[in-house]
Amino acid sequence: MKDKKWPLPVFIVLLLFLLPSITGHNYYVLHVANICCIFTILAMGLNMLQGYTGLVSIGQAGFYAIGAYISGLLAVKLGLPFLICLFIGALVASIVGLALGLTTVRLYGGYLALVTVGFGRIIQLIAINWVEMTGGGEGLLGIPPAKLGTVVLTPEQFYYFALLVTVILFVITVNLVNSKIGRALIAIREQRIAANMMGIDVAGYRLIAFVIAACYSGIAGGLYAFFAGSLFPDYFSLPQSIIILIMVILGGAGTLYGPIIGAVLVTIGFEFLRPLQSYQMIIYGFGVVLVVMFMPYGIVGVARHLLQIMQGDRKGSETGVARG
Amino acid sequence: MLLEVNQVQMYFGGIKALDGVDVAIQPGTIHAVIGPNGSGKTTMFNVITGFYKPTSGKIHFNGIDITGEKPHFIVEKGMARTFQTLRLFPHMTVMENVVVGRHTRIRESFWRAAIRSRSTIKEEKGAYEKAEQVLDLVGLIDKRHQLANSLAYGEARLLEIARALASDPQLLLLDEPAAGMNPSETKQVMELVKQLCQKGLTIILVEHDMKAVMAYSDVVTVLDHGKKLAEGTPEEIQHNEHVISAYLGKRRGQQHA
Repeated sequence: MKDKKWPLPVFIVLLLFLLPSITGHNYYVLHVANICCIFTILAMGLNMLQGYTGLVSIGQAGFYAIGAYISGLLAVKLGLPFLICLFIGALVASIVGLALGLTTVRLYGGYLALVTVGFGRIIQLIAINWVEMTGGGEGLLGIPPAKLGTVVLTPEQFYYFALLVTVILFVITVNLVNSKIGRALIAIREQRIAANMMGIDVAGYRLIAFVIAACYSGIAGGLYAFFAGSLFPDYFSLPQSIIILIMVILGGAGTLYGPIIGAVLVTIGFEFLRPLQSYQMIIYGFGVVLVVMFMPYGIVGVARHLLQIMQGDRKGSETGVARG
Repeated sequence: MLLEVNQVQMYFGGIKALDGVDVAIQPGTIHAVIGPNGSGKTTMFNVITGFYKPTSGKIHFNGIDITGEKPHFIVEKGMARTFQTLRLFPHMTVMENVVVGRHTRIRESFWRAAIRSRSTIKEEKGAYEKAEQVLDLVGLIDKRHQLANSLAYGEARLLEIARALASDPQLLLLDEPAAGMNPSETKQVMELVKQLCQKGLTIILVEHDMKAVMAYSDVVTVLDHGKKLAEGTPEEIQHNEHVISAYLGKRRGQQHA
């Protein structure tokens, strides 16, 4: 990633920071923008695991739930400050990610995917059944609004904060992908045995990918807890995990911008398709089938291909597709 | 001795893939390992590089006991290998493939990489420079921005070697580097091997092309059914009765009824 590539992202981020003013401080727009930030973080985390390392997880809602419930509970029961709740939520999610990574260290493909489905379900069941702690199906209510120092964040300020977190995590992702660590993850995805023979500790780097994905999900969960103010187990379901997966695949797994594009498109899509209610999942289902069949690198892959055609590079071989 | 393999046995259930093999590799030599199919050559590579844990026996590399250590540990100690079947990273560029080979020599911590610290930038730059040198050496520098899966077969084999070289190994294990190559490509690869050896690299070579083996290697070890059948200079091996019978069968008069 050369420096000359930065102006466009910087411009987009500036635009996003101005979004509330541009849209006349519309509450609905703010709400959708916050959800976009949260899902972008979730998708970026899963992309590390699925896109770069090639490990499928259909249980990210589990880590999302851990981050959300831990942060929410710390705020409700102990009255800890917002940032500390957020931090501990992410930390606990990371530790659970480490544990799940350790127990599945020999699993790949469909077997791993199944275990992650089970994991997500277990976490949801804990949220449902540990009523004294989580409130069960009645929900965890009364999470106080986020405070930085003594300042209670308005919805608009909360959006700025969520956007800032998203941008920081994006920059960290870019840095990691373009380092020894990102290369090791991609190498594991591309050719596990050769990666091992290049001196890459495959098991260790798998764990790193698991923990990054879990940590990002935990941060997203903490943000969601304070954004929503109440948590219900129904929200952290298998379909939620699948939606995160759809975002990554649709935008472009194993690309830097793919998860962002996927998260924003799917989130906004849900808003537009709301009248269709449960039929919208059918549309997303079809979408994913088509993307997997015809656009292996998602929307980013197609965009990159078009760009190369426009630049007259017929072979399309001048960029490492592995990167993004 | 750079590498010492002592009485190594490798059993897969009842199959004795290696049955008490002793090999000692002198530094600065090209050491060929030959033998009929299924004689245990690739198994020996896999045992030496840590992919298999031997059933019994010891392996010392540079005086360190590496028996049963993991491949990433052994690579860091200065060993590298290529594979019989191509195992490149297909969707990475030629350059990126080689930089991955540099993995163990890049000093970057997770946190420094995450913030892209000055030291990380310096390490990355160094790794890419090293990769360029290696690609220049094997003659793939012009293809550095291409994806690995767009290379011709012979080029891909060279990339395998380049990737292995990027880790600055002392010992390079080449598993059939000339497999599937035409005579001129074979010569190109073997000349490269010779050049590497002259630069001080020690090479162990599994190869089926006898002409290449006899022309380029210093020592030849012959394996058959997991046992060492013979060892010596190419001339000695060519005239060894046991070797000839293992490859061509026994003379009619000597055969049992």
